[in-house]
Amino acid sequence: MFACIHVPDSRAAASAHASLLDCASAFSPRVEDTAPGTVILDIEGLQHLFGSTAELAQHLKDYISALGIPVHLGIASNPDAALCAARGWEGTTIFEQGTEASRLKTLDIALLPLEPETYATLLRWGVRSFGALAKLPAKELSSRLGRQSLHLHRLARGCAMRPLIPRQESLQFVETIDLDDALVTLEPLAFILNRQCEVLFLRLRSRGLAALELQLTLQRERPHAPFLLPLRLPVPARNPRVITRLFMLSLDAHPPGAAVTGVRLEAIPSKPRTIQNGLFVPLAPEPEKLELTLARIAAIVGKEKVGSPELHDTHARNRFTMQHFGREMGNREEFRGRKCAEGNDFSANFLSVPPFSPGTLRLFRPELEATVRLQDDAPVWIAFAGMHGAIDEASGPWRSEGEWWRKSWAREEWDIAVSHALLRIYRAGERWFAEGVYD
Amino acid sequence: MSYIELHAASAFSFLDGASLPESLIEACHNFEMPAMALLDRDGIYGAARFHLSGKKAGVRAHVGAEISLSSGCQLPVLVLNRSGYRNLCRLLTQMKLNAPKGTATLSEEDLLPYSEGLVCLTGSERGPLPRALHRGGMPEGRRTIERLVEIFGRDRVVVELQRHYLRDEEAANQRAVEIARSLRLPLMATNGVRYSMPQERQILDVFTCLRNHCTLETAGRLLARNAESRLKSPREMTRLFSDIPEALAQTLELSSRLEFTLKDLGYEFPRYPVPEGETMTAFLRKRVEEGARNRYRPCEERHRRQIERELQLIEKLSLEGYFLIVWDIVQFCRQNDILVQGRGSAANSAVCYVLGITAVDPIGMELLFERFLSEERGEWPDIDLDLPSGDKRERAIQYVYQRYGPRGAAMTANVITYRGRSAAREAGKVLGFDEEAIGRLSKLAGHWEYKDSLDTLQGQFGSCGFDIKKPRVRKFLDICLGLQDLPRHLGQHSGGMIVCQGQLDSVVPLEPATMPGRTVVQWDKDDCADMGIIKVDLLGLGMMAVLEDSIQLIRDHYREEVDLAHLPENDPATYSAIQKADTVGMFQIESRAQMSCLPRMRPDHFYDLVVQVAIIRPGPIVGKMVHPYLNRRQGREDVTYACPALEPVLKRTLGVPLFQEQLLRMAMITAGFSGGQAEELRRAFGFKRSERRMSEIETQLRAGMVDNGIPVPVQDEIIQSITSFALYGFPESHAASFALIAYASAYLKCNYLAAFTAAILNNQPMGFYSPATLVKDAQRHGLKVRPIDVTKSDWLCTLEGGNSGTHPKFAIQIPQNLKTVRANLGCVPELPPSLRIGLRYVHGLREVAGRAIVRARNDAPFTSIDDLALRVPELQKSELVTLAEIGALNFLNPANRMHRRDALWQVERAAQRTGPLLERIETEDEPSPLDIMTHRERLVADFDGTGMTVGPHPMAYCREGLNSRAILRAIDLGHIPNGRFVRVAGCVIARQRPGTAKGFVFISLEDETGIANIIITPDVLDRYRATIIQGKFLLFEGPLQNVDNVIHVKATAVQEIAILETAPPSRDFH
Repeated sequence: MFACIHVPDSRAAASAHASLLDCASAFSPRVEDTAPGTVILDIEGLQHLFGSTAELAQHLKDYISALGIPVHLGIASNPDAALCAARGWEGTTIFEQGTEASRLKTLDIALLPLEPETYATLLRWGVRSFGALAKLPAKELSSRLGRQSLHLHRLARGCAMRPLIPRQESLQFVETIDLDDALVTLEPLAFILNRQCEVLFLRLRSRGLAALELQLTLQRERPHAPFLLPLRLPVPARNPRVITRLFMLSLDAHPPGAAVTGVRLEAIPSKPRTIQNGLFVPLAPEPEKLELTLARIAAIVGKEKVGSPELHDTHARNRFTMQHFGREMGNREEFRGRKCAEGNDFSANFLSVPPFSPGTLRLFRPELEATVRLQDDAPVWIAFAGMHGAIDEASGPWRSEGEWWRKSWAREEWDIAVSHALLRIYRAGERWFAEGVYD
Repeated sequence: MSYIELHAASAFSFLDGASLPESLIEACHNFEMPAMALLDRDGIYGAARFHLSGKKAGVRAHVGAEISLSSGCQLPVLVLNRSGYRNLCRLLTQMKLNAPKGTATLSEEDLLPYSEGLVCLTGSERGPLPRALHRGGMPEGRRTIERLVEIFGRDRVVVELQRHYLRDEEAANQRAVEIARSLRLPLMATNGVRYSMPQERQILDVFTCLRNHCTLETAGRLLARNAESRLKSPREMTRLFSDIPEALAQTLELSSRLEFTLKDLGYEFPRYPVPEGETMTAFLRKRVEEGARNRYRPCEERHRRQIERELQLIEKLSLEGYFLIVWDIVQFCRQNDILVQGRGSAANSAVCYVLGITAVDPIGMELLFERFLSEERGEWPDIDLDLPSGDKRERAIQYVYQRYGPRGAAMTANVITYRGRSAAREAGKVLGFDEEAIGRLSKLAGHWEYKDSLDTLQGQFGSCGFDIKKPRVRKFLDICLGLQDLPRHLGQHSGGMIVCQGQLDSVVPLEPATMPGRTVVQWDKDDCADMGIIKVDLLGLGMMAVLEDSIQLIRDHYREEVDLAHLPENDPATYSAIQKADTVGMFQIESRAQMSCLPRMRPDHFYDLVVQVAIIRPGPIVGKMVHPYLNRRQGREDVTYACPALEPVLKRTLGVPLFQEQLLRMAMITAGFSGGQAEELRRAFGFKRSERRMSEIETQLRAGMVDNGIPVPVQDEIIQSITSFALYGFPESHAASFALIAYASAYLKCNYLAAFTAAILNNQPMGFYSPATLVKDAQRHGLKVRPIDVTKSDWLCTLEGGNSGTHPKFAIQIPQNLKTVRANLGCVPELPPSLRIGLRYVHGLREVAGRAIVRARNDAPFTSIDDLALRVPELQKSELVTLAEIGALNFLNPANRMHRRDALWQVERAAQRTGPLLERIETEDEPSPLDIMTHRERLVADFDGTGMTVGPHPMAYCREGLNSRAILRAIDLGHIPNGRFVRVAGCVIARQRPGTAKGFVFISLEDETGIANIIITPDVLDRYRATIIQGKFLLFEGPLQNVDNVIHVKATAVQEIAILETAPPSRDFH
């Protein structure tokens, strides 16, 4: 005999599924993970523990009621009939052996695992119930709807026989510890984390795996939500010390903000990296060590200041974001690909035009605010950084403006010659700045 | 003046310019620039509008284009003289006709034979020089210029300088100056204008995104760097180019050399090839004389006088060729059994009538010739020909191409512009709105003709849950508004054709149309008319095809010959049906509004139909002419005239002006206007209104009326009727042409119902009602309609003899002995024809498969479903299933009739291909284990599979239940007194909210007995909006309005009723 537990509320089904499996496992070692919100368990022999089938059903319902969600229970001589019973009726439905066909006949065929095309055909035929389908001659049905229709026919008659497919524990690399006393400093956390990392990596190594991604979850004293710290590595790592150090550096920069009551560390396994060094290629630093160094730098200067700058595709000046070193190349390729795909318009913008420049421009960082006097809309005198003087010659203005659909910006640049220097200045709104000096 | 802009592009560069030509001219005029050149990309699409607005503003409009070269650059060229214009048009035509749409380019070699008369500029950033400089620096730049000099000649290459405040551009400029000076070529300043005002840069950015399929956020440096590509004032340009003054002077110099404008287009209407020794004038006179003898029997003096008057004007205006060419097309149609009839103002011409172009006698009907042609107006006449829509119209079009050559004739274009829905969709796209939000917005921008407060863009935003105060939403709205009316792409006008003496491609560039074998010019019909190019409209009219098909069916099945030109006048059955508003399917008089007017109007002769066609129009409705006319007709109001002199003009319409001709005559009589002046008045008050022009005409009108001693209050009344009417009024000649078709359709429906119904079903979609309604209406009139059957149905609907029934022609049972006698005489079919629905009504059945069924059946009858599947391999499984589901396979075995489920059962097996070894094994269709379909299931299958049912109406199945709820049938309403509270239910077949009805909605509700009309007030609509808009079967209750046999239910409450989950689609929001 088989019992099926089914959560009718599809929204609750997914979230309750893990609990449902646990509940079923508490009764039988043979539990099938049938679908989200649906499990089937083999209850053969359980009468010795729980009494009659009805009593067992009651035990199951009582146990599951702790979950706080309504479930339907179906019990029948085969898994599919039990499934149909649980899906077709509310509460508990028990089919005595041999009564399946007569009990199922009123059910809607929508409960069967039908392909949309088969379902449409059956509806066109006026076949809407299990009973109507069961009445059709199996051979003729098979010649019209194919071999799979025989299975449907058996399901409709409640006599489909298939073995239960018990679930297997999935491979998870998680280490969890609940602390008796909350930790208020990071130092003791380092010990715990180190221990967890060593155990975790031992398990990984024993299966020939490494970790590419880790997630640290720190349970914090109420009312704080758990503190999540993901760590994505450029290459699969196998060294627990490095991982511990990376986490600690990260925690130094971003502390959890409350006392820690529990630690959970999960690793996403990956195949370890194998590399053949080139004979004439200089040895690069070990990726793990490099990552560690970068993390140390990021902890000091801030994460947003470490990486490779990537210019934004815009006319606006100084727009860039810092990309993690490992991802730089991919983005560039993507950018180049998009531009090239635009055919003629590729050269319509100045991306492809060799930039006109009177020389190398050395930028002032940050740019220096200036006072400029104008005559006929052209700058004739400038003062900045404690210097001032007449402008011998000015070339411009070079105007750019953009992003009018958001917060628009506008900028007017001039190249000016003062005494022996050639400067670039610009005006944004009413303010003037010296931006740099040409070599 | 120090500067003239000689390089500008408009929105007619399609996604590469953001201003209309008129805006550019206006800006140019504001800067007091005497001239300007428009160079749109790969065309002169905007040149006609640019020229006309330039003419009005006193700006000389130079012509040019930016030509896409295969090297990827855009070469700007300007037209020097007529020869240059011809070359440009031919160059563009060659480019467009030799490549798929959107990919056309030219090579330098292509330019060589057409360079004469063109001046070449070196271009903006996408031009040949900047590109060459970028590619290979100075040497490459120099080589490029030298090559251009080779092609165009030294005196016709100008090195162009543009300054948009960009560093890189200035670097290129410096190199260009160096090259120009070394080669001794002139330098010229331009601004490469893409829009007239700085704020329009945003629209150009939007277009850039649309062109590159990206959003504003992701477009990056594809967008403009600044807003400097606007039209700049001469002062600003002088300041910009103060260091190179010769570049400014060159603009004036070159502008003075550009002698060509579109005024010298060089268009000449083709001469008709007459026999040797004859002139076109004599030839036309002969044809007219023959026609007059044929049309007017006898041809009286008044006929001859009018014809002579018209001929003299035609000869004076040298339009003999035009009339002969139209006559030639009509002759072709007649010789090829293509029904043709002129419509519109051509029906005012006796010459058109006697040449057989039109069918209405303008002399008999006292129509005003000047409405068609007048010397003063200086415009070409406009002749529209109605042809049966479909293949026959295409044959007429192809005849014109064949007669004048592929480059001598073309269709006019139709400029598709951005409207509310398309603008919202594109703006949403570029701003990155999600699909769902865009979809919601564009769906809400409905087709309701009447716009209430919710129908504004702001209203739509509110109802979609967008806050108009948010900047992004505000910007969305700005873009939507900015895009309004800008050209989106070029389409093809439905039937406007132009022909030319010589090569049309030297007058305007031609492009390939989407339909094979057709070309289209780069101007729309208004542009062509404005540029003096004569157009002949070959319009497809569904009803013409219906009439033509009906005549053939009558010939084949009734063995009678119907001549539309000689239909019995005042046929009692026809007028009786019209008076009862029993007009479903009849041309022009079938709409709900027409039906509600017919019982009051009670037409009993042809002119009443002319009035009927014209009266339900916005003109008479807005001008409040309808009720006075109907009241006078019913004797409830005295017939009076604003002044006695108007009696002859308005007598036929009982003192109420209903036609455009009447207002022209009113102006002629009361103000002493000539025919031409009167037509000028109509145009002044017409669609392209100009306040100044209207006020000038009104002054003239008043002055004339004062001279004739008409008192001021009467003047006010006359002017009021003219001003409110001129915009929407219907020409009497046009109404008369339409009334002829309306009468013919009514006559055929009343006398040859089977043929008429088959023909109208074969020409769907057309008209006001769906096929389902047409079928039900025909059945109510006694026609036997037979279902789709693969053993009987053709692709189209056909007529068949039946076993019994009433002959629709006589509306009596034909006795058996009479049937035999008539059959023996061979003058009528043995049995009254019934209608067999054609396979074209099977949803999802491809024509190729449908016709294959008929072909295979003609070889040998099908013996089973397996046999059908085997012998018609074109049939796909889904098609077989639909045929089975609608019962079309039930009759395959006459000895053993299947039901639909039997067929469905067999089809599933038959559709499994067994392979060559087993496929020839004979199998018989056997009964299935499946239950027979219920009535309800059959109805659902019929509506889903064919959009109609030939069985009982769905409402008939639940009539008992409806009776118990005191719900009346449509037919019962006529017996209920006015004001009684009633309940009526049915299937919604049409929903309307006309612009003239102040927010009222009209619903046509069909049940098994007929159609009930429901009026819904705006407040009831607000209360039941969703039910009214979406409901398929509705129950209405409210007081009955039953006055003069016009019956409506004024709904006070609405509810949806569960009759059937499906229904034929209603025709909504006309």
